[in-house]
Amino acid sequence: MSTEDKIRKQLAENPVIIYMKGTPDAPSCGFSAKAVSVLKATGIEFAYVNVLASPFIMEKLPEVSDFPTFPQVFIKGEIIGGSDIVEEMYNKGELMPMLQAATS
Amino acid sequence: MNESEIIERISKLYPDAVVDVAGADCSFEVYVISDSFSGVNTLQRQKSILALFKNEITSGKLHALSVKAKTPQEQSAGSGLVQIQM
Repeated sequence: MSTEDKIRKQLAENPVIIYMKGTPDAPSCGFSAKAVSVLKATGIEFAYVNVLASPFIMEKLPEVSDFPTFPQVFIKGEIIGGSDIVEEMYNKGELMPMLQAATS
Repeated sequence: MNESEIIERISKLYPDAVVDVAGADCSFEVYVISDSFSGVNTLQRQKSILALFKNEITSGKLHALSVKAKTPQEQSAGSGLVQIQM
């Protein structure tokens, strides 16, 4: 399967997914740590891909999402943004309803 | 990269913007304040600025570029501080 197909499949199968450096329990970068801590705080179930362990995905995803940096958070296949945007949406109370709608 | 390179590139795209940079080597934070952001969502604002550094981000020359992009109105509202008139 091509890397792009793999990514599209992951996006189709997981309503909430984060592409991050490291894992939720051991993030390797401060930005990934921030984004994943926000997702954890919502209590909503989410999938993750450690891009450090998937170099093809790390290389290809920015092209697919048109967003060059990591982490990248997707809800229902649509990119929401990186750590700053996710945190801002959480603080404004916008993130929870989107996540609930996506996972209900 | 250095701060002046970053400021120059952003100023070309947003000539009216106030651009401030903090950081060094491969990790920077930028603050961009411009009227052009009005009616544009946060993701699109960040995308437009990150796109200017696509090559450096892809090559790893820039590891982190954190973008704060606001309109002048958002900037003054967001601080929560009021200038005291003496």
